[in-house]
Amino acid sequence: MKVRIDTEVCQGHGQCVMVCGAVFRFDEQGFAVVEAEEVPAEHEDAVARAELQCPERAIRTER
Amino acid sequence: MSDREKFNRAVSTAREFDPYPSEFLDHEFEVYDTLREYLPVARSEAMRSASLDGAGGGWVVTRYDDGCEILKNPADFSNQTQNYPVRPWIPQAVDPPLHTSYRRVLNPWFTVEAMTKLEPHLEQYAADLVDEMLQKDAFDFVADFADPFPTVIFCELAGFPMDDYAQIMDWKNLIMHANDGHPRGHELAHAKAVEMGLEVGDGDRLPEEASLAVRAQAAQATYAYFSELIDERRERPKDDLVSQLVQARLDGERDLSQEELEDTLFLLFMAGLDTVASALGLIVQTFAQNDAKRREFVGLMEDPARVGPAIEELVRIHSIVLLPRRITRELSFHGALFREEDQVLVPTQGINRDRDEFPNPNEIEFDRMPNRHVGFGLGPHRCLGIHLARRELRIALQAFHRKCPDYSLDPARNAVAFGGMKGLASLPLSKG
Repeated sequence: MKVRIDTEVCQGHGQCVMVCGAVFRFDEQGFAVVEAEEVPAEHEDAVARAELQCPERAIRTER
Repeated sequence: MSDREKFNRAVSTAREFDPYPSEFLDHEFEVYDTLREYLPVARSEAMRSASLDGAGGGWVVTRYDDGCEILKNPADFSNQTQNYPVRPWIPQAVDPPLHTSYRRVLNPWFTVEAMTKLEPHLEQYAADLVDEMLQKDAFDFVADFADPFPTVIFCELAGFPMDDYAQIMDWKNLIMHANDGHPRGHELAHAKAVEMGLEVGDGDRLPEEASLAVRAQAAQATYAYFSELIDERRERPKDDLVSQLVQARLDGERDLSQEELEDTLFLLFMAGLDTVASALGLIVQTFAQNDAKRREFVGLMEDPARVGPAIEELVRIHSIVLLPRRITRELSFHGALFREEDQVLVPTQGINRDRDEFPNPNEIEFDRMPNRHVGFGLGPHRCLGIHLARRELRIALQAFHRKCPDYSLDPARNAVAFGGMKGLASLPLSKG
């Protein structure tokens, strides 16, 4: 699985960090970033939940 | 009732829609449900107090998708409304791209990391306030806890001297609650209107002109206070937001002007004092009336994986914020013709109970997933203090329920609610 955040759309609600802090983190301005596009297998379910949970619909995953 | 009759009833519900008086709260969710079903983009002629210039009328949307569409489109739906006494607040009343520059100055102070550092202090202060409150047999959760907890924390963070706490609360109550059913706000506003020689009428509400004049006067006094505070911190900086703001550079290019500093402090003041207090009051009122839900919360509140989503659900069910936007050009919006300069209101309370987005919208489901609620707003104006608010809500509810897991409404003293950016002015409870 791959994951991307549309930085034009993210407003830093932080839902993704709450759902999966292993993959998503905040930058110094408080917006969400991912360290690597490739999602470790053990975090795939959590990343899928984060995509669903984002109120701004800023997260895109690809399998 | 026939469909025709139901539709006609919805038309008059829309025409009379005004979420600002406290009486609206008696049937607010019924009204939002009716509008959402029959007139999801509705025209109200009564929404008078929405605007400080006294101009009446405006649109209200109640579908989740429509509300999100508006909040995510600041070009067509501007935050430069007329709803501000004296001057617009920064960054709330500013549109991108300038809004983005102001937010870049403010964002680093409100990050998760910054707020996490505050946690030990929040925990300690919450526990102390709870202990003090519970020494009484009958207590007022709002007056004894929900009002002082976030307010004192915010004043400390911002750098407002605690000696001025009572004065600051009076200004806040005048500006926010002159005419919404808040007893202290009304009492202060009435006295001030008499002092100013204004027509006060003999009803429960002040005439609109008197209310506007009193609010503007209180705002002037608040601005003058901020101006002095800014000068003071420029001379002698401390470890607080005012001092940091004075030293901030916009886009790394220039200092903020005195007016910009004052307008920013004004926004922080308005946003920081009431919101968490209101949400806490409404949440605990619900828990006092629903033993099963309260016990369910007490059972999960120490579980770090479950308490976060539970707080989100409580914010969804008790969203308090009404978000007005100014329409910047004539456009067709889901069948309605929006005219330039008209106002459209996005009530987060109504949006967050749309069953198309939230199944069983009126039920508190602590593990609700997904829960894309807009209780903290959406789009570029998303609540700056979101991480502070979440922490305050969690820490306050944990501290209270650890010491007082069972309570009920005090049968002898009723809770007092205010409308608009709704909340409780008083919530008397009994232990057990």
